[in-house]
Amino acid sequence: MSASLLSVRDLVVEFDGPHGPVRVVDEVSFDVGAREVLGIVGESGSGKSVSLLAVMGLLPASARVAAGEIRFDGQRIDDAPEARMRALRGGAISMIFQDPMTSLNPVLRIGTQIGEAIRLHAPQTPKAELRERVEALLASVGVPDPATRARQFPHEFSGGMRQRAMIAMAIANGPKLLIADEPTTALDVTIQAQVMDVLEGVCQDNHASMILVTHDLGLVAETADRIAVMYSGRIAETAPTDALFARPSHPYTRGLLDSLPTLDAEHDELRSIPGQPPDMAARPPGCAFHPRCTLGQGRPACSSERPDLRTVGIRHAAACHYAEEAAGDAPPREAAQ
Amino acid sequence: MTRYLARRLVQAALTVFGVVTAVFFLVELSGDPAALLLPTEASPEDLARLRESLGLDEPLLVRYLAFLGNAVQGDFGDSFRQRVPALPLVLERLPATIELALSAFLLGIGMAFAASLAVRLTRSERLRTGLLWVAFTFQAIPTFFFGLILILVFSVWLGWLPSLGRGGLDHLILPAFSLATFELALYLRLLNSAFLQEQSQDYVRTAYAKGGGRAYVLVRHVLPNALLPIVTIAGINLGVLLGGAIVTETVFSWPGVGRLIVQSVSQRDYPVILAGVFVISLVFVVINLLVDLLYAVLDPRVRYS
Repeated sequence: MSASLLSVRDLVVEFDGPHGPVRVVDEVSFDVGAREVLGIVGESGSGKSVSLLAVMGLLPASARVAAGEIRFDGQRIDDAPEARMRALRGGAISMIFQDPMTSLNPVLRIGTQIGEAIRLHAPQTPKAELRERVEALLASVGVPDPATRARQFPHEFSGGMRQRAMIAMAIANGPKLLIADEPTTALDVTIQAQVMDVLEGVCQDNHASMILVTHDLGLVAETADRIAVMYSGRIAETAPTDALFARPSHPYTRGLLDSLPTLDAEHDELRSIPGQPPDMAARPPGCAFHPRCTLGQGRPACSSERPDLRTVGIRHAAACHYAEEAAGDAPPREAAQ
Repeated sequence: MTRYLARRLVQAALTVFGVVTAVFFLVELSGDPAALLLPTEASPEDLARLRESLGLDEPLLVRYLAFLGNAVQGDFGDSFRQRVPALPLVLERLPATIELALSAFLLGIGMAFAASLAVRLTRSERLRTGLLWVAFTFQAIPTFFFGLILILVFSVWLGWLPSLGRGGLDHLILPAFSLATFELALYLRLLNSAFLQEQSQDYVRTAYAKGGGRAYVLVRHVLPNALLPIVTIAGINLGVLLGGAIVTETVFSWPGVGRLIVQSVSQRDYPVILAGVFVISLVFVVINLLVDLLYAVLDPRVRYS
């Protein structure tokens, strides 16, 4: 793992709550190798976006990194001075946000906003060169007629085109790591695949790694090399994509996979995981998932001991006391006596 | 765009017409101008003769139509008291009012911008509360009272600045500052909430993610968006100021339009009142039109058609 581009170790992020700090990210570790695509999957509020804002050093004022370390290219960045972080942001690490409708400044031209990404890192860029580069960037993300489009405002762009513009902005300085936070969630289904193609394309062209945050397992299945599943601020399971789909070893992952719609109509109704994710300020003791878990019902270990991530296969780890059983290796236990 | 402008200009003309008409009939209720122009011992015959010479003996409706006919040609009649055309009398006062209004407006809004940018940049909660306290206090003090305090301190006690009239810059300072504090309070509160609201928008996070620093993001991204809600209010407010800051002009004996109108009302000088109201309502509608056009420049989402 020494060759990781990004290495996050035991990251803890706390938010100020009315009754003291709330751990929204709780000892999360993950690595992203060079040119690797890591998918981070979880429900809203599982801490996935917050972990990545911590990587960018863009946590809101009410949050802070309470423990752990973040390394980029071998150097710690969680305690780096603001000037260094500014150089990294939009430079070697860039981020694409969920909602392209609100993530662009409504009163500035698209070309200005993309050009700004260049100018913030190379203030001396001459105007003519800047314009050329902006148009080339727009063309590279599949925006037709870039010279005209660059002079337009965000409200003149469709959702898909705006997200393309956001991607153009993110790759303006040839980043090594691209963080895409739910990049297609706000888009029409027909546009989602196009935007994912553009994202994959720019990663390859730039030899960049990518972290793809989503709640859509189907989306990461096609794109990611590895997947980390987050639940209630912790990583529940992490594995190479194939292994995760072939042998999900955490009941939560299993539940997520079961809730994917399939074409072969084995069941007419979509299955869902019963219950709600727990309140971060009042997590259940033991495994945070146990109140919703079919496997752990009534088992004392699940409600008393918090399971740590442990190896269950090659580069495959799960945080479940009964991971083998969840994976289907051990015979399912009889109904509670 | 041309059609939009044409429609707005027609609306503006109708507004001015409505205001002048309303005032024409309202001043009629204030009493007989002739009674104020002649000494109290004047005979009824003298009064009748004066009324006739002023054209006041005609029926109201006839006078109204005659007034309209002359007004569209720019003739509002002669001042009853000064016996000179009323409109030039008003226009002559306009520079003084514009001077006071603009300097108070710019001073107030400038101080408000400086203060709220300082609050955002330092993120000092103490500075923010302190400034808002100052703002509330200024807003709560009646203008005439604050003006008198300024005169007492800077003219009477310290003797630094003149207390009345118009002249050089030194004459402008006290009335402009007195008016500006009220403006400052208004814009400080508006800007404070506009900044707070814009600061949490997604595009701000995008700007940081591109590598922008705090001051850069504030000025380049937040400020242009925070300006939008301010512009409308500022336009209306500037219109009010240009209409004559009557209280301030009176306290500092500033020879502006506001003071002229107040004097004319108490003298029942109808032509001057009507000319003054005409000029003020014209200024008001023109500024409002300009603000709406400026809005389209500042916010590309707004297009008039």
